[in-house]
Formats: sequence, structure tokens, C-alpha cells
Amino acid sequence: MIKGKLQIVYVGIISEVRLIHKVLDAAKDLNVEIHICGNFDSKKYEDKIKKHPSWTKVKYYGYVDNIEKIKDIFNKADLSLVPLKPIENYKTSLPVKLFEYMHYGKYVIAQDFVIIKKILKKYNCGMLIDFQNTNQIIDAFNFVANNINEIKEKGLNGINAVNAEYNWKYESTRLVNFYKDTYNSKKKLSIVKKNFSFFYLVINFFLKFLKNTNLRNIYLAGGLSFLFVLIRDFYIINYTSQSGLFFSVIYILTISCGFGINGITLSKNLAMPKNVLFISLLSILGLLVVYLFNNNIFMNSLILFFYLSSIAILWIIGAMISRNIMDSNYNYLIARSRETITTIIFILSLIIGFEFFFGFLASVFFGTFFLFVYMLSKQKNYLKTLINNFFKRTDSGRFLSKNILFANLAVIGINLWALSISNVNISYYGISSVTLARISTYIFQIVTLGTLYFSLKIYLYNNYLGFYKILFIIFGIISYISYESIYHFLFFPLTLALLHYYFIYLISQDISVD
Amino acid sequence: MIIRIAQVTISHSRYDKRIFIKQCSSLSKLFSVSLYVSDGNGYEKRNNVHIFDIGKKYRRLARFFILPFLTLKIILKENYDIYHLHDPELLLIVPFLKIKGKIIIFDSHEDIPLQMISKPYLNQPTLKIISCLYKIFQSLILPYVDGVITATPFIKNKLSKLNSNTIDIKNYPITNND
Repeated sequence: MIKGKLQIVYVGIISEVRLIHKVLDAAKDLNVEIHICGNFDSKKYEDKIKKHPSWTKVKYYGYVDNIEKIKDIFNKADLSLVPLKPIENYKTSLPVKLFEYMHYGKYVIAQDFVIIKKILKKYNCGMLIDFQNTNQIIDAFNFVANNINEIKEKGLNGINAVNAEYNWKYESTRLVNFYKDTYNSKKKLSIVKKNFSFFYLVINFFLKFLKNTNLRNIYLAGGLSFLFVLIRDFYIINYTSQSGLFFSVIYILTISCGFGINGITLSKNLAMPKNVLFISLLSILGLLVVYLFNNNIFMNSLILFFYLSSIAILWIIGAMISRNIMDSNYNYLIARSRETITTIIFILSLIIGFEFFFGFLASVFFGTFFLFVYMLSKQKNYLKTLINNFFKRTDSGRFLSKNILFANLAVIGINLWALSISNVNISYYGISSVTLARISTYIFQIVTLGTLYFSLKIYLYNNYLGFYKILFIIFGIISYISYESIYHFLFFPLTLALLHYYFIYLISQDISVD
Repeated sequence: MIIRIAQVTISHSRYDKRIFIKQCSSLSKLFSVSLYVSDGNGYEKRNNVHIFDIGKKYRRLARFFILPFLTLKIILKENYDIYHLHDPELLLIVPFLKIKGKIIIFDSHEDIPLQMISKPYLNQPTLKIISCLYKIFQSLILPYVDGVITATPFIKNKLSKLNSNTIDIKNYPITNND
């Protein structure tokens, strides 16, 4: 108290939400002096405050960064204010000025928030009021003026509180330890993380894409073939026709692209470009034969074939990406053998599906498959290593490979079954094909949901590659919702491709841990 | 080896209490600390902290979307181990820092989605949409940040759902005996 005037201090930004105008309203008829440090938050509010009748009672210092000057101001003061409008944001905040007032040993009058209440009650160094109510402020000021000595003693409790608990010393050691811990834990992981983080993968993919002409061809072919599949699907849906010159041209383009990929992949592995050409020619020839016997059953089978081959192609692309990231750092052969085995089983599952209905197509497939195996076996002991390594997996690896197989077999098999028989009007064991198709469609939906659940599980347990996982779940949900519409053709293969990509990624990570 | 730290901010002032006076000064006792600010006052060395200036550029929206990338270009010139980001708009550059294999710490000075709702300008529905969008954005980026620092335990509880390595460093005052 100086000359009977109650000395009040406020430090901080002066704005509407800090309720300074309410404080000035309350000070109108009281014998007080208010010391304010800090900047105005807007010109409008500055004008409003400076025109206020109580402004004459205010000593305004502006922004003060000199500690000595602040100490000077605090030495004069009797009590300090923490006025805050009760907005959601402030209700849970820890106002810095509160601790600074306590540090200087000043009695605090604060807005009634739960967190502030806890602190002030614990050390008994302040009181709580609602600053929106002018009468409450007046009462509080009068109370302080009447009990000035008691208040000053209580204010000193704040110094103890800050020394014991609310000081930067303790927080700074925590901060430094946090830095050290984070640095050390991340350094250990950096080897794995650097090679397998999603962003690294993407960048690496594009770098390889630009450098390697072979790869560029593969991805171009894959993209093209997927594009053709889409065009074909649109054509079928818009014109409800499955014949004509345009249609057959698209077919041939698709299949040559698809097999071109397989071919180039093989050539990359085994350096036998002649055989690649042979496979491509064989597949085109097989297609021409199919076209000559053009009827609906064949065409339906072809639709299925391309639908599934688009999935396979994307899957192979995933395999390629995962292989690229491994470079020479890891055991190349094991990694490749695992991929290849899963590829073979994937293709086998396709074959079994086709063989069921169309012996002819299946034989074409078998032909290419055996050629594939033959080429692999030509590599010295390659096939043997392949099979050996497949059974030599770690537990997690085996678990994953199992899941790959089940996901492939279940989803693709059932989808194939449903799509095929819904187009053919025959009956199995007395049940019409349409009913069967409907039932299997339901099963397919359940399986799709199952894979979604599985992916969700991965999402919860694994910390890496989250962007990819989110993408996968989004695609999965869209493909589930858009079932039986054109978008399904886009999103279902994408979902599957991403799923495969993810599994392969996990397997390759498994190797790096070994 | 001394760990090299870059503290980056584009919306706080040069001698911000939390950033410079508390965090930088404490960290500079053990680590090599550089602070990047955007105020146009140039280079300075103070309290053993190197303060670099990104320059005072752009206003409003451009400041939000372009300046982070300009900052990225500048902070990557030197090779730091840890990047400590103080502004929500700097979350935009997290993917690029991740490619480079850096360790990133994000500092949430306030509960940003809540703070957005209580901004005086713009109308309430717009603010709610922006706040919601930020929440989605945050949930996409924060899992990839290596550490999250918050100002209060309340924010910590919220963000620890997104990132397990979260700590609350409160803004307690510096006492004389420190």
C-alpha cells in the first residue's frame, strides 16, 4: 500500500479474453493503483481501454524485458491478478503468470479454474473469483485492503511453492533427459527405419525408376495393363457388350502388358530374354485362339482372368518394390525365394480356380507355370534353396506367409466362384447357380471384412508405415462399400495389392532383424 | 560426440520465454543448439545459442503454407541430429525431414485444436471445420514424429494417444538459484 492505495499488478497480453476491462470497471470507485506490463493484442481494444474512466488509475509500462524493472514493480505491489475468460482453451491451461507472481511472493486473485484451484489451495497463497462479475472483483479488492498484513504473509507461501515444485530447474533436467532418451532410442532404430520408412521407400522407388530403364519398362507395363483393365471394365458396363474389335484390341493389349511384366521380371532374375519373348508370344497366341472361339462363356472367363491378372500384376509390382529397397544390404537370395514361393502359390490358386471350369485356359496357365519352374530350376540349386528357405522361416515369418496364403485363397477363390457362376445358368446339386452366387457373395463380403479386421490389427500392433496402412484401410472400406459397382474394380485390386505389398514389406523387415 | 539440435519457429518471437530463455538456454549447457526464427533481425549468438534468421517474409496464408518449406530448405543446409519444431504449421515439413532420417521433436505450446475454436476472428462453423481438419492432419503426422513435448499434462494425455513418446514440460518460472 502506497498512500493508502492498494497496489495491483498484472503482467501479460492485454486483450478482451483477459478481461482487463472488467478489472477497470471494478476499480472505478476504489482507491487502487493498477500496474500493467505487456502489449495490447489489438488496436481496437487499446482504444477502448485507454478511454476507460479508470485509466487514470493505471500505470502502464508497456512491454518490459528488464528483470530489474519487473522486480521493482513487484516490490511495490500487494496483489496480482490472473483474469481469464472461461474459454475451453484456458480451462485446462497453466498460466505462466500465475507461477511468476508466486515466484515474487505475491498474493494471487485468479479466475476460478480447477487446475489453478488445486495449486492455490495446496499452498494457500491466493483466492478464486469469477472475473466476469464486477461485484466479485470489488469484494475481493476490499477484502484484500482490509486484511493487508495477512494477505502479504500468505503471498510469501508462493515463494516456497515455486522453490519446491514449480520451478524450471526440475523441468529442464526432464527436458534434457527426454532429448537424450529420444536420441538414443532412435539411433538404435535408425538402421531399420532409414531403409524401411515409407518416405524413403517412395523416394528410392522414384530414383530407381529414373535410373533403371528395365524397371521403368516394368512399371510402365504394369500401369498400362491396369489402365486397360479399367477401360475394359468401363466398356462392359457402359455398352453391356463383350465382343467387337475395340474390345478384342484392349484384351490383347492387356494380356501382352501383363505377360510382358512377368517376362521382364524373369529376364531380370535369370537373364534369359529369349524365353520372355516366348512366354509373351505364347500368351498372345492363346488369347487369339480364345478369340476365334468367341462365345460368352469364354469371354466371361476372360473377364475373370484379366480381373485377377490385374491383381497379380499389382502384387508383383509390390514384390519388386520390396526387393528394390533391400539392395545389397541383406540376404538377397532368401528374400527373393520367399517372394517367389508366395508368387508361385498365388498363381497356383488362380490355376485351381480356372481348372474348375475351363480346362483349356488352365492348360495354358499350366504351360506357362511349368516353364516358369523350369527356368527357375536352371539356376544352380535355386529351386532347392527356395524350398529349403521357405520352411526355415522364423515364427513370425511363417505366421505371415500363412496369412498371405489364406487372404489370397479365400478372397480370390470365393470372388472368382461368385462371379463365374452368376453368369452361367446351370444348377449344382439341385441349387441354382444364382442362389449359390448370392451365398458366396455373402461369404466374400465376410472375408473382405475379415481382411479389413486383420489389417486393423496390424495397424494397431505395428508402428511403421502408417500412411500405407491408412491408405489400405481406406481402400478396403471403399471397395467394401462399392461392391458391385464400377469403383470396386479400381479399389479392390488396389487394396489387395497394398496388402501384399505390406506383407512383403514385413517379411523383408523380418530378414533385416535376423 | 555432441548432439546438434536445431530449434525451429516461425511464429514465435526471437527471445520467446519458452523457446529461448527456458529450453534453448537449458539445452545449450549440454548440446550444441541453434535457433531458427523468422523476424528479419539477422544472425546473433547469445547464451551460447546460435540464432539464425529465416527472414520476415509473407503474411497470413502464405506464411502458413509457403514459409515452412522455405524454412525446410534453410534448416537442411546444416546437418543437425535433432529438429525441434515449435509451430503446428511446421508439421507440414515432417515428411521431408523424415526422408533425410532426422530425429524430430514437436512442441505443442497449446492445445491447438481448442485454441483454434477460441480465435476471435472468423465465424464459429468455419473455425470448427478448420479445427477438425487440423485434428485429422495432426493424427496423420504426429505418429511419425519421434518425440512430442506439451505444455500441460492435459495436452499430454490427448497427444500420447497419437505418439507414445510424449512428455509434458511445464512453463514454470526460472528461479534465482538455478
